[in-house]
Amino acid sequence: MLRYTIKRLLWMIPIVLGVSLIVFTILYFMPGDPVTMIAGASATDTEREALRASLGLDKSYLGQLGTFLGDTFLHFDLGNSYITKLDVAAELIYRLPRTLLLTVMCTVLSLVIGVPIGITAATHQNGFVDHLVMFGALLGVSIPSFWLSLLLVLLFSVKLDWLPAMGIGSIRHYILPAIAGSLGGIAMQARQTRSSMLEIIRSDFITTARAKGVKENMVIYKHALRNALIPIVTLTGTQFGVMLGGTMILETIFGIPGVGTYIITNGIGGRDLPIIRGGAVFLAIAFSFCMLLVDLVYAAVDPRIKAQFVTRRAKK
Amino acid sequence: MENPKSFFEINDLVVEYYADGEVVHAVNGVSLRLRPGQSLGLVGETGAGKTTIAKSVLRILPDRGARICSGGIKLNGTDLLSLSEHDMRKIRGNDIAMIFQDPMTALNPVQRVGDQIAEVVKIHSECSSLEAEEKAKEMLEMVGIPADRYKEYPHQFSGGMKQRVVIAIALACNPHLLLADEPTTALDVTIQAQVLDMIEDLKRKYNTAMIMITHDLGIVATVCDEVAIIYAGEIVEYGTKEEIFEHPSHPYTVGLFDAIPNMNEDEEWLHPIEGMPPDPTNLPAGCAFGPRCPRATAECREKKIGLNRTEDGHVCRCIHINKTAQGGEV
Repeated sequence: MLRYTIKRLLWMIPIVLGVSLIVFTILYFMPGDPVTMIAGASATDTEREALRASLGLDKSYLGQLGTFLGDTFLHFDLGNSYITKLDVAAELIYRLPRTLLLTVMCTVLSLVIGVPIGITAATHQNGFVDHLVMFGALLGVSIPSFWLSLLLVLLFSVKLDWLPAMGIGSIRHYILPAIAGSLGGIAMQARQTRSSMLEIIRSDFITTARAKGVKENMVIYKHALRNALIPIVTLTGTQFGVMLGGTMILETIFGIPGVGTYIITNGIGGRDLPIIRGGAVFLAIAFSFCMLLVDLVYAAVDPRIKAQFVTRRAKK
Repeated sequence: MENPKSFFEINDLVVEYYADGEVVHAVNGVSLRLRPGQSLGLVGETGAGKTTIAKSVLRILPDRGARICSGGIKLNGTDLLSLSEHDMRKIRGNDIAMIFQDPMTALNPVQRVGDQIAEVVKIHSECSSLEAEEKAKEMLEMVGIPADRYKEYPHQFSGGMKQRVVIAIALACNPHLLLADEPTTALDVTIQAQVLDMIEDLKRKYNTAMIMITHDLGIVATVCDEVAIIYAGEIVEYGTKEEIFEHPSHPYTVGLFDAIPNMNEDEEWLHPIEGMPPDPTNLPAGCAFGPRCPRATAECREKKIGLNRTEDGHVCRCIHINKTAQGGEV
C-alpha cells in the first residue's frame, strides 16, 4: 500500500505540470493586456513598456512559460501578484485554513446528515418517508447556495440576531456559511446513499446476514453500508475538492477572505495572472490529494480494491 | 398422515408476491413434515416456488411485495409465523439455517470469511469474541479449509470454497433443520460431489434434518429420504425416495424422469415435457399441470385436484392414478 501511495504521489507531478501548461497557455492567448489593466488608461507608452519588461511580459511565449514553470517547480515560487505585489503562495497558504475549515464543516455536515437520510429512504423504499426524502433532496440540489445564504442571514442574523452575518472572528461565524454550503451536499449524499443502498440491500449476502439472525439495524449498518460506501466516498472526495476552490460565493456573501475569493475576485477579476496560475496549480495539487485519499479510502473499505492495487503493483 | 415423530411441519402454506398490480401465486397450499435427521428433497423447475418455501420458513422473504397469506410453520410445536421478529431472529441461523444457491454472492465481500462464521456463533451463544473465533476456525477446518485462512476475504476463495464457508456458517450453531437451496447448482460437477458428501457427513454427525431444494433428481437419489415434487407452487407428488423413483405416478414426475437421457441407449433426442410452466399470476382453473398433461381430461379442468393415495401408499395430485379404486383425499 505504501508503494502504491508513493507511486500515486509521483504521478501528481505530471498532472500538476500538465495543468500548469494548459492554464498558462490559455491565459497567454487570452485577449486583453494585463499591462494596460495594471498601468491604467492614462499611462504613457514608455511607462507601459517599462512595466511590461519588469513583469517579464515582453518575453516570447516559450520564454515566459520557461520562467513560470521554472519558478513554480524548481523554486516553488508562484510569483507575486501584479497588483498587490504580495507573494501568491504565501497569500494562498494564509487564506487556506479558512476555506479548509468551511470545506471540512460542509463535508462533515453532508455526510453526517445526508448518509443516514439516504439509508432511511432506502429502507423505506417507495414509502412516505422515501418520497419525502427524495422531494427534499430535489429541493436541496435545486436551491442555489447564495439565495439560501441570504435567507439564513435574514433569519438568523437580522431577525433573530443569533449568529453573526459575516466575518471570521470565531467558529460561530462559520455556522451559517456551513449550513448554506452543505445543503446541496446533503441532498446529493442522500440521493447517492439511497441508490447505492438500494442496490446492496437486494444482494444475496444481505439475505445471508438475515438468515444468520443478525439484527436488522446491524444488517443495514454493518453489512450493507460498508458495501454501499464506494460511491459515497467518491462523491465526498469530489465535493471536498470542488469546495476547496469553489466556495467563492459563500466567502463573498459571508465576508470570509478565503482561497475562492482570492482566485476569482482578485485573480480573475483583476486579471492578475500570477494569482490565476498559482490558484490553478494549488487546486490541481489539492484535488490530486483528494483523489488519492479517496482511492486509499476505497482500499480500506473494500479488500477487493486493495487487492487490485497490490496486484497492479506486482505486475510492474 | 399425521406423523407423531415429526418435529417440523409446514401446513397449507400460501405465499403470494405482488408486482405491478398483479398477484403472483408462488406457493399454493404446501404441507410438509420432517423427522429429526430426515432429508426431504424438494424438486421442481425454476419458479415452482421452492426457494419461496425455504425463505418463508425463515421469514426472510422481501418485506415489500411478498406475503405469507395463510398456513402454519411449526418447529417443535412453536408456530414460527406467529413469533415476534425478535424471537424469530433467535431461530434463524440457530435452529434453522440455510445454505444459499450462489456462493459467489452469498458472502459479504468486505468481511473476513472467518468473521462471517464467528458472527453467527456470537449471535446465538453467550460467548466472547475469542471463543466465537475459535469456533469459527473449528468450523473452517471441519469443512476442509485450513484455519489460517480465517482472515482472508471471499474474493480470495474459489467457488467451491466459498460454498464450504456458506455451509460452515449454516452449520456453526448445530441447527435442527438445514434448508439447502440448490447448494451445488453453481458449482462444477467434481466440486458438487465433494460438497454433497460433506453436507451428508456433517448432517449425520449432528443428526440435522434437511430440506434439499434442487431440480436435480440425481442429487435427490444420493442424499434424500423423502421427495416432494413441486409444480406451480403445489406439491404434486410426495413420498419416500423409493416410492417416487420406483413408481412415479404424477404425469409431471413421469415427465421429469423421462427427461433424463438414458445412457444405455443410443438416443438421438431428449424428451422434454412439452409446453411451459403456467403463468403464476394466472394459474389454470383445475389441475395446474393440465395444459401440459398427456392424460388430461375435461374433469381435470373443472376443479382443483386433491392429493390422492397411490397403490404403494405415497400421495399424488392426479385423478388418473389407480383408475379403478380412487384413494381417499389426504
